[in-house]
Amino acid sequence: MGPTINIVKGTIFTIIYVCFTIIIPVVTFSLLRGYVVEGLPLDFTQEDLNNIIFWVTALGLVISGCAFFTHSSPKQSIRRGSFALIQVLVNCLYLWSYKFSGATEIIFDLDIGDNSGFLSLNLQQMVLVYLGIYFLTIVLKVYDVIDFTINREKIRYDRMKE
Amino acid sequence: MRPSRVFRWIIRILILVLTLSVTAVSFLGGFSAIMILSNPDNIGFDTDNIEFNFDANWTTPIEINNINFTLPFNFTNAGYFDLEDLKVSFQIGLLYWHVNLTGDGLNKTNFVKIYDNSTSFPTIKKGKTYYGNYTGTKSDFGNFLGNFPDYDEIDVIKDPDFELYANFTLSLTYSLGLHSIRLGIYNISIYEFSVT
Repeated sequence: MGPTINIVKGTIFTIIYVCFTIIIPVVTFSLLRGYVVEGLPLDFTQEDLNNIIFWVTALGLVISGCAFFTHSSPKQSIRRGSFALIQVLVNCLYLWSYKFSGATEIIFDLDIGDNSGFLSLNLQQMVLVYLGIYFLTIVLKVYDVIDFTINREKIRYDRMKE
Repeated sequence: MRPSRVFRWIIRILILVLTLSVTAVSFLGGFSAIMILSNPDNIGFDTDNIEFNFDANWTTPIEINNINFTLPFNFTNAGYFDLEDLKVSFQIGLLYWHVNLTGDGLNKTNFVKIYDNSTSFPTIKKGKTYYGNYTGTKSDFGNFLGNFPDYDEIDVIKDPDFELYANFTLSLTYSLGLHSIRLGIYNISIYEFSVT
């Protein structure tokens, strides 16, 4: 596969990751800011929103950058394996950022006549389960890097044959 | 295909299955939470039928012989998963008109906490309704009984002399523990009574 095609592929994946890790979450959280569910307003301040958007954008950009290098590298190359590993690690940080930026706890304010209250939905455990699955992905990517390094000659030979 | 590639594909498929399973459970859990919470009848604290017994000798200091309450409640699990770790925390505050004998001579309303406890309830299976009673006995009131005012501190001209207000906090986990939900309602008037 030629270098131009690799760069095009990398660019396409960068755009996909920018959409999924930055644009969709930022738009979702911005819409949530003024959202009212069944007459219950969300207890979500501008400061919370800024904090979430900052971390989502910062780590989303790093993921998208890694995605470019991962997908523009030749298949089964050490470079591809290394960037894929870095990308998964940053993905874990990205997921964890939802927890520490406060996005995993959604709180609605209740106002029922003379009474007040709150309704809170905590998704922290869900994030932790996803991180567990990411751990398996990290193991797989480490395995890839080792495999690509050990079988480097054979992979090159096969690539030449193609 | 090299054996390592086959191994990689097996692990990839495993990760995909895990991710899809967790995503499906999360989605159904979120949807279930909306189904439960969207119907006000699913969570009901029947404050109109609270049974509150209070027996005291109105002396100074006050002697409380007995105090207990029973609050009926129901919880309907309208979702797709069992509802676990159901815990109800309950605080009661006592509001009374305080006769100020020592300060600036102005009477004022006083609000003191007389009860703060929590009780766990069993798992509610999907589609089932749990009808329970939240009970508080004299021993559950514990040291908070010391917060009751003495007889000469109460302005008994006011009617009622005492008003009880409650705060509820209900917490539970859902969809195999992936979602934690807490519901708090404050300042619910539950009971009122007079010395005479």
